[in-house]
Amino acid sequence: MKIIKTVLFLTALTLVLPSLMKAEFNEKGIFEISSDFSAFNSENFKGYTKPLFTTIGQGAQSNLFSVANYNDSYSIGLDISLSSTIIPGSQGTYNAMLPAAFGDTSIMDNAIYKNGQVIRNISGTVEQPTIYGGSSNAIYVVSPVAGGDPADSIYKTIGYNEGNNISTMASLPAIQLVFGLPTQTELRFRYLGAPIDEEMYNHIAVSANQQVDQWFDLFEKDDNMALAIHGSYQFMTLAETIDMNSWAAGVHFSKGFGDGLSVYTGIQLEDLGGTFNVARQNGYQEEFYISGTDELKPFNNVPTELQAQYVAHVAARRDTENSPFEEVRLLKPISFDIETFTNWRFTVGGAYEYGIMEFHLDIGYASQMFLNGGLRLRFKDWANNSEIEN
Amino acid sequence: MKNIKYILLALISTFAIFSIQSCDVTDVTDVTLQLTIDFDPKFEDRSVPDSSIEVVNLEDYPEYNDNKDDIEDAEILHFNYSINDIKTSDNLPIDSIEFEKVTFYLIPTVTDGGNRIPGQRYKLGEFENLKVSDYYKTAKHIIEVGDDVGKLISEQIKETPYFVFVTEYSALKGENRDNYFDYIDAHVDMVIRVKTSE
Repeated sequence: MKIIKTVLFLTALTLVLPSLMKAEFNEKGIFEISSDFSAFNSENFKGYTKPLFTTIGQGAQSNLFSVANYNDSYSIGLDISLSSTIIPGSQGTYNAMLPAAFGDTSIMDNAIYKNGQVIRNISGTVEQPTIYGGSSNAIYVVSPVAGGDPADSIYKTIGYNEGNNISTMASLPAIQLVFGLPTQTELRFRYLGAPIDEEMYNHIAVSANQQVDQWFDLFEKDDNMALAIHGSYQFMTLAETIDMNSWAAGVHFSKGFGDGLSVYTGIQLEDLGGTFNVARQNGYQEEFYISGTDELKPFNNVPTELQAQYVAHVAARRDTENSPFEEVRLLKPISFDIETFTNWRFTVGGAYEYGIMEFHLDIGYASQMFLNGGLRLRFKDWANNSEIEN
Repeated sequence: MKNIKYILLALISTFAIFSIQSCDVTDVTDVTLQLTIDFDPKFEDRSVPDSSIEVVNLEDYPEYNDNKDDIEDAEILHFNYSINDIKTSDNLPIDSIEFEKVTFYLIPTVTDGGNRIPGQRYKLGEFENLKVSDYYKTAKHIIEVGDDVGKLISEQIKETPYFVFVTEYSALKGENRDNYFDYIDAHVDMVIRVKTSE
């Protein structure tokens, strides 16, 4: 379970100070777990963690804007914000993949005990909790059903990891440098970097807001209204293990009411993608196997320079030789394309400006509803070639 | 303007409440696993009614060994009982063998000066009118263990990996009530919820 914890931690590291991470990287820069880790195959780990990646993606693309009225001057400032997401019940479960033979009654009899009911001979997929969900449901397996010794069968009762019953989730504070330009443009930058083992975790974000209503004379000055577009690109990397990128594009609108009070709203399209790759110690190499099969080559047919690794691989396979999942049995890496549930979000909020400070607070509707609040400080503003001290 | 202030106040209050109640990443990285174990209680060379006694050693399972020092809670959730093979001395056909009752017990153990001492016996559950043919190599006979008994393992598992699983076979129904069995090869799959903390 330490291994699972470490892997989850790795997955969660964009939400926590990465320096807390204890990881071991191999010579290729890939995070490596021990060969007896059999709790997940790639497909199920992807489903288990998808809501977490959604939180990460939403957190990264939160607080891109507040009031849409941008000064036509140079400025420099800082924005610090916090966000908290509300996890919908639908993201508490995923369809976990079952081993291929499940449902084949000539090989096995299986049954799941769920809500006091016994459901037999399930196949394909089965609903299990995600990292935010609740209890899992083990699947009882008796195999073979005729003759043979159960001890020799790779089909045994399987358990799934439980969730942590999480309904709300806080993300790390987002600290952004904010630069204003005379074109009524605002640029925002975020960076978070931390050493993990001998590798470096990096999260770099660049976003831009451009007020556009003045180009089309949409509003009268007295209306105190503004319309702007925004975009953001971010990437998060950790050696060869995590390579994520996220983008967002949208439009936002605000209206001021005097006395520093404004309300704002926006809509944006966003996505988070990338790859997640974790190796197993003494793991699978194509050169060890007869092409197109899961049969090991004879020792002498393995290239000489790989023979020592081949021996270690064969020994390591003894830990997982009874796993019903081929990927686990052959010690293949946990590798998948990162996905999230969120593509659209609608934001509405309010801001109060007082001196160099702007307090902003908004609520967003996306696949995970979120609340975001923060403080923006504008240290200096240069307008019409004269410096304005705030 | 008043309305806007009220909206902002409501937003601030909501944000504060959710921020306080939100979980952080340490919750995300808590791991609760359903550990699956299996063992084969053997009833050999005896007449019923009598019991088989199986000493289960969790150290046979790598998931337990990897985490035994960090176990915070453990609980037996449920188990499946099936029969792999059975033979009576007078070769009764399987279809004709029916027990009045088969009852399962858990005996937690404690370690004292290196010796394992079995504790009290707790009932895990039972099947009545157990027809052997219905239990032959099947996964459908699952007994849910009550919280009170299931959680008994939580404390003992931190001290010793051993517990005792007792299968108590009643007399048979019908004739040959105290029949002699060469063997009853049973199989038990058990699911134990294990939560760790570091």
